[in-house]
Amino acid sequence: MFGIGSILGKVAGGLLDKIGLGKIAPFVKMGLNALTGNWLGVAQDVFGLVSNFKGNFQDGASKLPPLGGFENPVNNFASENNPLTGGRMADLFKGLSQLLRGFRSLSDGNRSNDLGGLGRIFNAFKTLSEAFGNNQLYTNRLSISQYTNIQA
Amino acid sequence: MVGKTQTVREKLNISPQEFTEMGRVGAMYYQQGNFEKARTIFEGLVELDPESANAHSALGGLLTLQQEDEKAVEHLTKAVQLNPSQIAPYVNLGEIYIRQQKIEDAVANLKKAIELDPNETDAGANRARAMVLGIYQVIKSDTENLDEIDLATEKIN
Repeated sequence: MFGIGSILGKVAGGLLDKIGLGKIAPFVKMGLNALTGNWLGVAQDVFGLVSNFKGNFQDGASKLPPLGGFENPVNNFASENNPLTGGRMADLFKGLSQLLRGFRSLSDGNRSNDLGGLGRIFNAFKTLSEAFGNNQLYTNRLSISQYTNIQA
Repeated sequence: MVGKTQTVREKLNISPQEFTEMGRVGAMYYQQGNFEKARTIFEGLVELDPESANAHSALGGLLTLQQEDEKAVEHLTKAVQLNPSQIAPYVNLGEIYIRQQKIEDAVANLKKAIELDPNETDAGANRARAMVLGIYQVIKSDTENLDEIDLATEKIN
């Protein structure tokens, strides 16, 4: 059976430091001190969880806060499997420009939130285009100038 | 009856595969330490599809790293509402609640993350385990309180 002592040895040896959490102890201490009613319940939960650890996880802990579904060990967006070709990104810019034009024509002073949201999408598309290395999209002056005009 | 508002993603006919690919580019920047570009992409994806659990989870994760806790909790909570079986939002909520010294809430979220990964294979859930170990250490060092706990110590030791 795996011994908790050896896991704790690794914790003391810097497991938390390795994943950027070396400074949590003071926060935990203050938080536990601040607990009023359910200190016992929290402690039992923690001890119960630790007692079930198998001990295989230390080297496989994420060093950054995890992102969820977008994380993939193989970022193959540059491969031929990537559905976002330069042409497709150009289409998306065009579609977004049409939406921006639509918002501009409807603009009555109360749509700034919608416009800000479209601006964030526009910025995301620009960043994605940079990632795909498509110079054509960098110089898509039509879309960029339309957006700039609307912002102004 | 009012129909569901069409998202920008739907208006632009962006497929689930394309949307995921965009998210992967953001994740790539994040892993490379280019947090500004990652944030730009994740913020755009949340606007493209406000009902995407993945987009809220990713933006919430990045905001957790940047310690913008209020905004992070908003996105992580939304991610949990949209997909309660995703591990990452629970891990990050746990980290934020530790920072905020809300240990009960932290443990509740870390516990959910750990329970969703019984085989200890998910890197995020393993990060949650590391945090639980940190909490365990602090509790264990508080010997006065330990006496009050009826624990299966033979299992732990």
